[in-house]
Amino acid sequence: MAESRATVLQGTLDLLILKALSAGELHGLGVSRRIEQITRGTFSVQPGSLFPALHRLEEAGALSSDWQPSENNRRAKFYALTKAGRRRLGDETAQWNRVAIAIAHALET
Amino acid sequence: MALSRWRAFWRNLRYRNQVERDLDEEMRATLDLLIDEKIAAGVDPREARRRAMIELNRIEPIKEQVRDVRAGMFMDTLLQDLKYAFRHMRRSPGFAAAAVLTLAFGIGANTAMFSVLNALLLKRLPIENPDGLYSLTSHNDRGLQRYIPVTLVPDLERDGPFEIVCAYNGGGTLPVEANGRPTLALVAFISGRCFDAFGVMPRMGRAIANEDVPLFTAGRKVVVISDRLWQRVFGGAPDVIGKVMKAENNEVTIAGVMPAGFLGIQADTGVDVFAPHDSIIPAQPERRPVASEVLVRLRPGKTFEQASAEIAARWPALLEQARSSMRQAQEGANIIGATPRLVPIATGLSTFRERYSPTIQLILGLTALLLLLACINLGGLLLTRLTARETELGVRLALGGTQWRIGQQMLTESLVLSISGALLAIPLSYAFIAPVASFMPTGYIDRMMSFTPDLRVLFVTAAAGIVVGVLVTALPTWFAMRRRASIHFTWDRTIAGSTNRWTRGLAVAQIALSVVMLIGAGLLARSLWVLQNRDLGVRTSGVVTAKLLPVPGGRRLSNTDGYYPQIMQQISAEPGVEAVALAGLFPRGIITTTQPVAFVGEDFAGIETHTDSVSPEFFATLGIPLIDGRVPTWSETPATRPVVVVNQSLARLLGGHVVDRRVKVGTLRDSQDLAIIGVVADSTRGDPRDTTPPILYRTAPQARVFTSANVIVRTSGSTADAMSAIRRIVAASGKEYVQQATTLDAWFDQVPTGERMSATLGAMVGSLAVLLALIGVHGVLAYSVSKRTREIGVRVAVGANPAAVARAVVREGLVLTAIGVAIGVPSAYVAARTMRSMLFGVTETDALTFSAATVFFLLLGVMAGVLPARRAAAVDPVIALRAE
Repeated sequence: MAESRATVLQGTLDLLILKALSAGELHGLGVSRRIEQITRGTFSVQPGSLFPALHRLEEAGALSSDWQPSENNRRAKFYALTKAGRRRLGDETAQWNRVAIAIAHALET
Repeated sequence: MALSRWRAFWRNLRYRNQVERDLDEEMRATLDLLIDEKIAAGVDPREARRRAMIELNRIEPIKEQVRDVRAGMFMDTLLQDLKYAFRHMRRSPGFAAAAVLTLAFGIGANTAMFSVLNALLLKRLPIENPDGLYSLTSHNDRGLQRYIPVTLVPDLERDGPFEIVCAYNGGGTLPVEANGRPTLALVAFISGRCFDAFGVMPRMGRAIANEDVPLFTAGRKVVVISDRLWQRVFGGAPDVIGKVMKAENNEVTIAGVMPAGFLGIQADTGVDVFAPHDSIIPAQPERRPVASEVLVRLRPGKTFEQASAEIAARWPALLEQARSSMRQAQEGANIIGATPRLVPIATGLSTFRERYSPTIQLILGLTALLLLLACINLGGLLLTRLTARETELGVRLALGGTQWRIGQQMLTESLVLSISGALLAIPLSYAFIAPVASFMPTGYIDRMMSFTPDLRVLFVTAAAGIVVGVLVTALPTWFAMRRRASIHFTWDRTIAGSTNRWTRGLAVAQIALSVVMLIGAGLLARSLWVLQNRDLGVRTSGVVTAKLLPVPGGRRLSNTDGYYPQIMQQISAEPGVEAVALAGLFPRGIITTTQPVAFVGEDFAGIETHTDSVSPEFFATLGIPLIDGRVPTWSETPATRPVVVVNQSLARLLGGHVVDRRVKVGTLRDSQDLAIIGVVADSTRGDPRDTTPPILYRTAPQARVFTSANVIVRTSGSTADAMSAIRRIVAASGKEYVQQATTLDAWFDQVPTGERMSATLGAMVGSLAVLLALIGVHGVLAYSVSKRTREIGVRVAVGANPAAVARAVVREGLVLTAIGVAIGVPSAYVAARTMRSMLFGVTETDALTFSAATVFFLLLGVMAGVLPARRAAAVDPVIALRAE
């Protein structure tokens, strides 16, 4: 691995965003920081991937957004999980666990 | 989710700028937040800004990407799905063709059928606000319609609930001679405001106005003609206004020509000549003109209920008032005591509609069933596809495809098929409509309707087809998906299991439905066959019949002036002609009433008979054998004793030996003492449904007035020659003309119109149903075989006989069919009871039809299995085992 921080594995970005938002609503930068935090700095999401992903998820109905004042009183666009997003998080988590167990199992043998 | 995406797509299109501004702002806010963050970490503000800019250095590309995601998401998936669907269709063209054709036939047939019948049943009159036009009629306590004196019109209009009132007497025919050509025109006698009531004015010339119809004196001799008559007789010549036309014994002036399509309120035949009341046919002396109905439009603000109540309350007084102006007591007595009936008349008057309504509803029912069948068929086909693609779906799920995504894909595929089917249905409906329309009954007079597929009908049937097609596919998929939520890793198996059950269920449903439809069609066909093959009691081969009608002014013919004997003699002299006879009614007087008959000196005791006036040669010409006594001769004249011949049915009703007995018929003075001189065998009066009606034949030379005869000619030569000879000879006489000529065979073929219509259309629909069922069962078996390729391979590998494998497949088809038949036959038994009134000569439980349909479907079940069975027998175990 060339960098110390892993690039986000294909297909897991959505899962990470959903997970990051599961604790409450965040603005774009907040999502990025939360992902770094919950992956203990393993993953860093570049704005170039983050914003398209956020909009895609919003478009797909997994996220909703509105404008609110940020922690230091700037106007920022906050994203929150919708019901569908929460369901999707559950589905994808289960899916991921299956894959992870299978891969781990495969690598152990 | 699909909905939210549509909404988002819409928003993106609609609020493009807003979305764009939103995005700008979000990026700017993020930059600010980033700068704040860095400043909070102790970086110098300018440096923080620079670094934040670098971190977000590709703001524009980011925005670009976001935009792509927004706009593209919807189109992308849709395009992807579409591409995928089309690729699939290309890969299995047989399946795609079957599915698309199935739906196209279903929708096309329905559109054609509903368009024609819709035009016949529901089409509104081409007038201003047809729903605001009402017909007022008067009925006595037995429900019989009474005439309304035309003189009531001003009283009705003066005060009361109606704004426009006009008297209308339509539907009659009148011999006219226009542009030197005699023709039979459909006529309506009207009072002054009828054109106001229609809200349609002549395209040329003027309408008939109040001053043309004075109500208390004779109307002016002016007429307004239809566009149809103008085109047909005057070739659309623009100088027709002011021309004179002969009508009956009058010369009338053409005052106006109505716009094309306007034909009065007679929806079946239309009206060609609109004339003032009491103008062409003067009211009999001492009588006031009367109308069959009064057309009204309500005063603004009056409701239909208010108007009905008001007119009911005023009616007795109005009739009383009309009676006081009557000139004869009897006339007044006829109208008193009647009650008014106000009905909407937006669709016009149609005897066709009244007579064939049950038939039409039956056909519509059958056609709707066909659409249902087509949808089920499509659903079945799609499901078998789903089963066949089980592995593929499993792989896609495993690779992270969401249920929704896959469901959506399935939906897109079924939509692509449905919509292709609907599109193909458009040309098909045009192709179907001509044959459907050609089975519609035709009368003496050309029908005015031309048929084109109704776009609304097409839209509705297509929408129904698409919705049902999608539902039938979506439901089982959805169930399978839901089950998946609780049972992990067994998705493919559940899908397979449930769709198998569904496809088999659908195949059984298709067979059951088509059994019902085929048995229905079979019963109708049997009825028609019975009608066309019964012994009518008359000889038909080589016999032609022509209906004569007087040219204007030619009506006052008498049988005594030698006119008819002369005509008959001339026709007899034509080569090939063997016999010539005349009949007053046969074969065209089908719809006539019976009259009471009794021996002279006895009271009428409930025996009723049909009557006809025929020339002495009638019986020999038609091969009706004489049973007893003798037939009349030409030497029997009005001057000699009135004689009659009866048929066996009437003789039986009268009690056996009737020759030389004297009878009275009805109430006419000249029919109170008639000597029976002979008895002949039973025969039809022209309607093959009734071959043994009681008939009393008067002899034509003795009938007081005998005109408009049916000439009956038997020839050993060509029937076409005989018909043209009749036309020529009658035309040369200058008194009458041939209105219609036909062979007797053709006549009896066309009479059972309703039966023919339902039998032919029923057969069309029935055979399409069978075809669809065949496709359906075949589809199920074919996929069942392809799914079990491996199992079959194993069996063959361990020594199973390929023939036994094939037999198993055929058996499967047979079992499906047998279940379908077991459900279908009792259903058909129930359904057939509703069509009892439309059957003739067969019972609704006709064993032959039922057993033939059963055998046919079992054979069909075997046939459907033949191809898949062969494929199964040809499975190569090596290839089959390697396949998975």
